[in-house]
Amino acid sequence: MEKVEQVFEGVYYEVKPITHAFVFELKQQWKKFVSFSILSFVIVFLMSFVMYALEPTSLLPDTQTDFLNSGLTFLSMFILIFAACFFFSGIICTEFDKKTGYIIFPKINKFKLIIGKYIGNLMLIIGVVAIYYITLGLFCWYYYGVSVNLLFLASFAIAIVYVIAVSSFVTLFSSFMKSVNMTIISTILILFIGFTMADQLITVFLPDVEPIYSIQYASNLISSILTQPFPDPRYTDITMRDFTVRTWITPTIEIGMTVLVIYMITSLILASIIFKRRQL
Amino acid sequence: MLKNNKSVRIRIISILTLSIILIGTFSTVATATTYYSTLAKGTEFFQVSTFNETAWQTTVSTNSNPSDWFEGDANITGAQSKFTTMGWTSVTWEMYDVLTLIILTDIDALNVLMTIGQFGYNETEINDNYTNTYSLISGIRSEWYFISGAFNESYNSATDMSIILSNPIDYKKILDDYNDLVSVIQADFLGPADATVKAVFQNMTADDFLWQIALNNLAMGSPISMYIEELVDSLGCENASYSGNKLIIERIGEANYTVELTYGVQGTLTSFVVKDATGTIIYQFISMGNTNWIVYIIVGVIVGCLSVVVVYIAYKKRKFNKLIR
Repeated sequence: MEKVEQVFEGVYYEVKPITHAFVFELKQQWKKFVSFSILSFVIVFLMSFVMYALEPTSLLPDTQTDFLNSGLTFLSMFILIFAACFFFSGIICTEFDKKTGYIIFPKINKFKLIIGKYIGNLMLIIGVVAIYYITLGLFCWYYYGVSVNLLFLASFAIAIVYVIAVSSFVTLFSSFMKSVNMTIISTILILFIGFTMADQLITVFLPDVEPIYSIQYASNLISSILTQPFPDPRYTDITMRDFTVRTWITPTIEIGMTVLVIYMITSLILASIIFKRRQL
Repeated sequence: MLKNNKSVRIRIISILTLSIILIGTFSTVATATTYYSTLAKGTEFFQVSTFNETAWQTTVSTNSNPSDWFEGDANITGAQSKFTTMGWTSVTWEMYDVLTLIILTDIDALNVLMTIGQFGYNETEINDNYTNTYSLISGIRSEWYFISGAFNESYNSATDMSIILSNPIDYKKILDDYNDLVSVIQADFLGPADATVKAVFQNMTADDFLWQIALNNLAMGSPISMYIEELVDSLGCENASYSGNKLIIERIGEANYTVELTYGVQGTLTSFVVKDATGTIIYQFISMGNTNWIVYIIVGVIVGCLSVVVVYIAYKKRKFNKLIR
């Protein structure tokens, strides 16, 4: 019994610095959270209410799935990427920017500090995603009278995995970049332009190759999971004269989730290695 | 002194301007003679609450059931249907549009119209001969037919319409033009081979016409009771009456029966009741409304919670500031 108590006490003292860092990060970033929450609400409000309710000729999508699909595309394309970049860009690089990363005998273990900060930011960004989903779900209920179903929750779960993958990717950049601004600019450029250009090149030169390397492509799963039956085939072919362009719609659930988990694990491992080396 | 005079003048001008705007607004409402649409985007659910099959067969028809009037499992008590109003547009129809979209709704009848098009009854000819135009609001809806189980994800019909003619008197013009066209066609297609054409194009009484549009896509402009009144009176129906937002049509099947159609605030059908001569309900489906109120409550709760949080933070901050002082 005493041993169990000792183990619990040990775990408590191990976790305590992480919770302190977590709470500190929540207090530190709450303004960003409020800004992104308001932005999420306003975007859904504009897309779902102003666009349809105020303009009679702007037709509602035929079904609730189409309605949710159109709303979630914007989430995965813009909100999540921007939120991840703004929340996670400073997670490691600020420690070196403000010289706190070079302290030789810190009061708090630096890895625990980063873990606490990471979880804190992740919770805030999940909160933003939840607000987006709740607002969209309410508008869906308003227009279609249908409560959220399991697929909507599955989509939310995939969005969270996607957020973790993107935030890990941004954390990796934060581990070797010098400033927050540089991290934000470079990750936004890579996530928006880099992956899109790579996808275009693959589409043109290797149309049969599915772009499973792309985190952007994996994000299509967030909206396509709602489509029943699941898209099959998962691509569309457009033939112009003798030239066929193949556009991939979505990865399978298994492949999509695997890609996101690989991004997540690889990025976090690399970020921790770089962070450790950077301190020396 | 000068300043005081100026502010008094500004106040008087402001009050006058406001009064003019208010008087203008209210007088416009009071003297409104045209009808307007109150359609709203959203989904409305219906449920069959009563179906007495035996009474139906002895009163309405021995060899039909409600699913001949409404698609799907309309003859099963508890079956539900729904439609989503996706939007609406203001359009102007000519006679050919009216023919194809209101009168000849049956696909076989439309095929006959296409066939006689080559004999001078095409769109151009018909519209040239019947020059009335009809301005209307066309509501675009996706419809799920009555089903006794859960709704499918995809709709049964994406092209369903609810039609609100800007002026209910236009229904009379439509009927007159149609009956005139029928008489011309009947006179033109005299041979025995033209029996199909004659069968499709037959004179329609005001009561039959009202029954047909009521079963299909009739919706009312607002004020609804006035619209129904004007519609029934202008058509000159012998077996139709009205009571508030209710349109009552008397019909004869195996015996006399009455159909009561109630129109809700949006001008669309919210209740359909078939009664026998004694007033006993044989068949009924009613609107279960929409779930907008749930959303309003949730939004209200969220806004309330946020307000409490804001007030609490402000209170704490004030208390903190007082302590510092």
